[in-house]
Amino acid sequence: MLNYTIRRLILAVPTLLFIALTIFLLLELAPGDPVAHMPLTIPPEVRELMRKALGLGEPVHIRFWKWLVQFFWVEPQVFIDWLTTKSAIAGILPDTQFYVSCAGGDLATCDARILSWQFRSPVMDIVLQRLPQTLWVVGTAYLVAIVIAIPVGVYSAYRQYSWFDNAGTFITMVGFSVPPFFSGVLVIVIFSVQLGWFPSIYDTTHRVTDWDSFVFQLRQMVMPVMVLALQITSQISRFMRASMLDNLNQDYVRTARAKGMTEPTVVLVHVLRNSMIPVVTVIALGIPSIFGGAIITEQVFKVNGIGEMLIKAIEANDIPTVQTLTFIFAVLIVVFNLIADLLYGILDPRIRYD
Amino acid sequence: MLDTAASPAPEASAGAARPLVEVRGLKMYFPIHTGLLRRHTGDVKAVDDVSFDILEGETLGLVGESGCGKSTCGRAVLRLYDITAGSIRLEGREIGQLSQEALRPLRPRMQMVFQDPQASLNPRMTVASIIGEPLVEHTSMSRAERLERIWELMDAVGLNRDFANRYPHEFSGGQRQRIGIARALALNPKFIVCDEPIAALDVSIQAQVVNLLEDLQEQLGLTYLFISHDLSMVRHIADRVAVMYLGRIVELAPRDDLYAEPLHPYAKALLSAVPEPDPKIARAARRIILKGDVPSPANPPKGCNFSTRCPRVMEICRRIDPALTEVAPGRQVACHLYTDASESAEETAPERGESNDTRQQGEEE
Repeated sequence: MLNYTIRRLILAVPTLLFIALTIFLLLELAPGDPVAHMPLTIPPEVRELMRKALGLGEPVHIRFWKWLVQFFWVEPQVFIDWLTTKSAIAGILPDTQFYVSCAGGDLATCDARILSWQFRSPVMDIVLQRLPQTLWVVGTAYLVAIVIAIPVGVYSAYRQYSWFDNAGTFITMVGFSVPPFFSGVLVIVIFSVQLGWFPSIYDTTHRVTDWDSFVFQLRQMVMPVMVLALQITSQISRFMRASMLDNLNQDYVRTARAKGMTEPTVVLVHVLRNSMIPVVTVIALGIPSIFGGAIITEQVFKVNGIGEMLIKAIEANDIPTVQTLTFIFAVLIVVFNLIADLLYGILDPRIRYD
Repeated sequence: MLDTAASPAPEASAGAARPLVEVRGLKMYFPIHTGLLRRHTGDVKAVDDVSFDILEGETLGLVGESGCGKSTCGRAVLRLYDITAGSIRLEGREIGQLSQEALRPLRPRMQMVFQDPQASLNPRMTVASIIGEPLVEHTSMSRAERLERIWELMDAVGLNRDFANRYPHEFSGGQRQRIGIARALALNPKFIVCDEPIAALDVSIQAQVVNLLEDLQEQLGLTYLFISHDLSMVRHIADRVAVMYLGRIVELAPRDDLYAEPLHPYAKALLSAVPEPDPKIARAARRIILKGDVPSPANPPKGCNFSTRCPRVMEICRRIDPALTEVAPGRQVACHLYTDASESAEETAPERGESNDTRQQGEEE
């Protein structure tokens, strides 16, 4: 297993380099100008100077190489330094003296980092600012979805074609087909405008300090979480149901019944444990999407998370931000693919990697 | 009538044996739903009014071609299905209509060895947990006692104790079937249904597994219902043999009698298909080749189920279903050729269940 993991990690390096190049070239080929949204009164030669100042004057391969150095050499150093001084987890470690706040002054280190063209501030700093919102909203939605989807899927399969299964199948079909820009607006109209139960805008500046502010935090999270959870639940419960149905008719289930096991043991120990194998990998493969944020849902509820950051960067032709975010998603997908494969090996004794 | 004490066995060799399992009028129908409203429009009559006894310590062979309902019959007898109708008595206790929950405490008495040893073992459980799980459920053994029992069972079926922590996929087919047998034996059952236990194994392993089953029967006094399509293997292991066709038993006879002289035309045709190793005899033997296909069990023919393919079909066969009747001591056949024409004409289909019981009484006297 260890050998397999190391081999996969080594193989991930060329894969990720290729992905980075592809993203870079795609963005290069895409039309758009980072200074296009500037006032029209700026004369063309000044515009050209502004482009040069953003680093656009250099050839493609130089810019790609610079980005690689920034991403793989400068940013990790800064990140380690941030971990050892600022973070709660590793703040006790000795200071490595790399991280310098760009607001503070030392522009030499700051300029070496990947800078957003919109904000003129390091992309990774913005990511770290935006990540908590996304993790709270999308992560909670994912957890809620799993907690709902697994029992629903299990029971639907166990009572196949019952009214519960038919209703569940219908609702998951609707939940899977209705896009969040519709369901999101719909719940805003119903629960914020008509009933006035929940705020329609997610306030990211809100701080949880006491019970009341915690209740407010919960109330503002309900709608985005539910809209996202509906989609994820639909997907996972369908997987769960199909996987359970595959296993319920297996001979070993009949063996378990013939042994005289109780029905809960048969279903929850024998069938569920075998059915969870594909579902767990689907769940693991979905985790990068938590970090990726939910672009549309974040827009609808004005959650300024990672998804919102990406869409704004695309609108503003902020190529370093788009490149970096997309590449981070790619890394997460590659890593969670590996984790899903390893989980498969742990859960299913028939699969062994060596 | 079913009082076991008053019923001398039909078989002389069995001596004081009494029926361990008594099956009367067993029916297992699988409903067919069709149309927009998924209305119940018919049934697949997988097992249609089957009656037989299995004596304590004997092996009853159940043979027939694919799809004739032998496996369904075996599972229905163990109540792995909720049966449509009929009575099943195990050690004198009626289990035909018990709920699955009420059956659970009785499961240790009756077990099953399945056809596919790969599919019938949970792939995520080790051998020790597969064999030990029923012990956890039905006994109050300590962990150490349980492990001792698991090892004892593994020894009994000829598996190395060191394999206890391996998973089923790490074994060969024959070893897996041994695990399946050890699992079935864990709770000291009286009655084991062997559902084609050797069909998935290659020939050299088949003999080992069958010999193991025979040895265990001798040591533990087990009673088997041995379902198979391998007629030579049934001849080897069974004391009595029941031949099934399209959900019915057409002939039930002691093994030697059946193989020496099958009575029912279907049994004749089936047994003529057994390969004969001696080429001289093989050349002289005449195979009876049946024409046509097996009718659908969802829509069986009127009258005798075999009337559409029977080489000796008579007019009466297409009208009246022959009941399983004793024609010689211990031999039962469901065929108009062996029953008095006037007698069978009196029997009408709805009365068949009753007439079976009368026949049973007659046999027992």
